[in-house]
Amino acid sequence: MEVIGRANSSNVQKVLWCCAELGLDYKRKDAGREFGIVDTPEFLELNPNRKVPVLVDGTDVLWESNSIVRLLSAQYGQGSLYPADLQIRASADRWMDWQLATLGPGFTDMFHGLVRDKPEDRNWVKINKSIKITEGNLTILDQHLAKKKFVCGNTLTMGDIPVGIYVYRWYSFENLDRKPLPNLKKWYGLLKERHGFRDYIMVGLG
Amino acid sequence: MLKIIGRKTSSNVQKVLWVCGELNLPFEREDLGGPFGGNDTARYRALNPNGKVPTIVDQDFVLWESNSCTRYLSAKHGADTLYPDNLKTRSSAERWMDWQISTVSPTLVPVFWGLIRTPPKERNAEEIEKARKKLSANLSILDTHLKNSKYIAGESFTMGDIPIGITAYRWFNMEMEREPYQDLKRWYDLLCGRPPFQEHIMQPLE
Repeated sequence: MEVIGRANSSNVQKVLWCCAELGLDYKRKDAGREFGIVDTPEFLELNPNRKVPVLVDGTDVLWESNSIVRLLSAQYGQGSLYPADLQIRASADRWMDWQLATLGPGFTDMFHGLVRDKPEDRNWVKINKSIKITEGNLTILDQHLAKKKFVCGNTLTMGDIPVGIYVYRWYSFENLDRKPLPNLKKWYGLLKERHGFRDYIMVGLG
Repeated sequence: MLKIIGRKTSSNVQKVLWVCGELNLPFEREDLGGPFGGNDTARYRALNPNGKVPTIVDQDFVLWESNSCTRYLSAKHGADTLYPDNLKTRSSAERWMDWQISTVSPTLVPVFWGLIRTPPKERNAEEIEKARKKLSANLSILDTHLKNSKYIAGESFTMGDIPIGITAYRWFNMEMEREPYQDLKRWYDLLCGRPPFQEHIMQPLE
């Protein structure tokens, strides 16, 4: 099995963390951003959408990070990452979709502004708006976590993975005035206990 | 009975209405969102802290995020029709559902707002055309995919056709230039032959 994509992409990290939780062996090949490759005919053959990650398993190819996490969880994590109960699974799916639809887009401007732009190029209006939106979004998650240990209950599921990556990033910015979100912080503490999270997610911002 | 909360003109609510139509599921619907407002009431936020439509209530189970609702209802009532048993086929369907959220929707929104929700005098033609080109580039990926696939995930209609099928209706029915995407058109014509698509999706855009 091969995972194509640079190790500091949040979307690639979803797959790497998922593989670690499931104890899967794979090879990873760098692509995207400074590595390029995503516009080559060989890559476009695998993923016409030109993004990382791509999963290649024999002759099977899949792209879209959350779909890859779902597939690997369904294949190798029945009853653990992939909840057996349909309603619990739907709840996991919901927080994965929410990352894609809401949390991720709201976070983009603060991440690009603070991590990738040079200090003199920073657009603080956009950055501050994005910080405020992200804090609002994480407040929703914090309130959800008031009654849950993990996103879908007492154990880690695939639903923790996409949003978990953003929580690491949120707490990694220096000099950010964050409103206290105690339930989020407690859950973040649990994620930090997992070796897959430490090895693949807690690797700095790039 | 299943309850769907959300105005029927919302593309995200339409996903759920179309699923119910395909599965012959009876439901009751309550208008909310857009001109109806109600997103910020305490009652609604208790069901859906994210405040968007749709939310579904299936007896005592509450779910939001339109694609998650689509998956849940498909898995519960459409095993091996809307919800493919084969994991590879299901993952392919999920990928195009995720792609609608992550990639296509951000390019459809500015075109839709520009052409449908902005009075002609106030439209920024240049911005709309820029967005339209991005949307078309995305749909060209889908067009190419559909050369070798009758529906999104193979020979039969699945949940994977639903989110992006609604985008296709909008693309074919806004007054604008369109590239001649033959396979997209062939697939779109198949969708137009389905009674639930006619009932819930082929409606005036607003």
